[in-house]
Amino acid sequence: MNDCVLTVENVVKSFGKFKALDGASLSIPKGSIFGIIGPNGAGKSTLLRIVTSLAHPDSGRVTVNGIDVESSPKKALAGTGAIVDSPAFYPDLSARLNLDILSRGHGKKYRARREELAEYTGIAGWMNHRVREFSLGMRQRLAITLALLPDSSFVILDEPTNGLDPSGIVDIRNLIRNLGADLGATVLVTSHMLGEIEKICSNLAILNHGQIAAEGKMEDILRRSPVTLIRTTEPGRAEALLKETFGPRIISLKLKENEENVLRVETSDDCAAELNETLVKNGFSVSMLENEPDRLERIFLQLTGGESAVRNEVRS
Amino acid sequence: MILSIYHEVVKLTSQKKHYIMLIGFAFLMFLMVLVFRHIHDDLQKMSGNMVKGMPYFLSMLVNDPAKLCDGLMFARFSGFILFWVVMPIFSFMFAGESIASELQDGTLRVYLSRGYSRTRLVIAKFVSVFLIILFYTMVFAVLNMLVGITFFGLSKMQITLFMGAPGEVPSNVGLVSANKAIVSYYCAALYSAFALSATSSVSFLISAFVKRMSVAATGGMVFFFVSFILQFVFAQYAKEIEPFLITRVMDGYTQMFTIDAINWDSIIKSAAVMCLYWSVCITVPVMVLNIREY
Repeated sequence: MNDCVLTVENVVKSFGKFKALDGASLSIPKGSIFGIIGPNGAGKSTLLRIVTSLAHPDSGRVTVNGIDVESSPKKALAGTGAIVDSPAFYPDLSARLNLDILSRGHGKKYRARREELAEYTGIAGWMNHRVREFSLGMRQRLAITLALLPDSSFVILDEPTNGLDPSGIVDIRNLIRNLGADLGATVLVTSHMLGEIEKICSNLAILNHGQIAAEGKMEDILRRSPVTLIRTTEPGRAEALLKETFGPRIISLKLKENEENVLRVETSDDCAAELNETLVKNGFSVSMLENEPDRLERIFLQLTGGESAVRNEVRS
Repeated sequence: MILSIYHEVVKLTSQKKHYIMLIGFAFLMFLMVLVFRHIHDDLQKMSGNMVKGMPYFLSMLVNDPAKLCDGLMFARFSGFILFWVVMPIFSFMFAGESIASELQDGTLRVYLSRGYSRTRLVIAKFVSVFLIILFYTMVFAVLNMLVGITFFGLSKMQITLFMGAPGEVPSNVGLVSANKAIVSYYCAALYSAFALSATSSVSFLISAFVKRMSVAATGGMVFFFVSFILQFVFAQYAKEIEPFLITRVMDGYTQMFTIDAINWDSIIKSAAVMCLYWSVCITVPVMVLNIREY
């Protein structure tokens, strides 16, 4: 527990009859880039608001670096920088003044760090410009700089790539990914863009109906029921062979739609290498073997019931 | 706390409504100069009609009334409109802006997400609004007098105005030296700044509840005008609440126009009511911000 920056224990939060959080628990290890995903209304924003003391839980406990947020918010959030919702600034003030006011930073040491971070996030040349003149991408960079000031080691970013163009997304993604390595920061990030979360985060929690449906290291979560795509000659025979060899380890095996001679193999554990070996040993030519892309999306839909919802929609 | 107040002042001074204030003030000065020039000319036409046995100050009025209608008199007349109409509107705008606009823009959420003291934030905001009001009141008072002296000069003797209790018709008229009149003019401006702070605190209170500064500013204005109507139109029906009306507190500044006969009892009572407004309008937002979820 001591290695965790944030610990959320059985947090319940209701708005009237609606339970936004229903016993959510998670812990964020130091130095990780932790992603939280969930469908709309799953409780992501409510959780972030409780973590940042903007809202109070009905029950449960939230600690940052071991300090209770509810009883001592100032102390608990001293090293935390959060941008909840879209980044908001004073448009008529310069970027520098915005950083000073919103981070309440002052002193020589602070000013040195501010300029250093501005250089790091790529806004150094814009520090005297009014925020009104900033593009959305620049605002996100400014928000990340703000979150790191005055001396934050835990950064919370809510939908940081929202509304950005593709190159902006790549820039912000790289910036967030490097925060841990370069500055030793722990990052909590939420996003609707599952591909981005998959690329950025080392750890992940999936929130659904106010509860944590899955939590752990990204690789462990992605390893859940992995799907392998195999292009081979005689896929019909290959399908029979694999079913016979792997038995219950194969959850589903079928020809992939709209692809010629490609088998889609969903297994209970990661056994891509074994699948390849079996096919080659039995004389099959394997011209392609890869993990199915959008793995996170599939797992997300499975855990949140989205897949069945989509199927039902198609049927009706 | 000083850093918080400084930040709040920086935020308030960065807004474009300051230009509107300056344009509004310049327009007021322009209109007042036009009006006062007519009064000055009319009084000049009356000069020389000396009446025997008249007290000195009255004979001076009749002999050379235009001399009394000088720059400082202009400042006192236009000051009446400045302190009663222009400054209250600006004060409501600044006070209404204070919390509501930050709620509307989302900057309050960024600030509060760091766990900073919400009580300190409210106090810093209130103090900064007061400082802005004080600054503008004093600067406008100076400019107002300078415009008056530039166009109408400055006489050595000044006629006293607005004697007696606030709201009453002047019961006595006298002459004071220009120095005394200038001091009393700035005392009146200073008093106005405090009274305006109490008046605008209503908008400040409303701004803690709503997300739109226009609602908070309008709410304060409505309160002000209702108070005005109660005091000056339906005075006989509002005797019990009259001492607590914000316009009654505002009216106290007229006491300062004459140094010789300041009604200190009235000033102290007004100060007590001001303190009441300040206390309520700071305490309630503190409670709201500490309880409310964002």
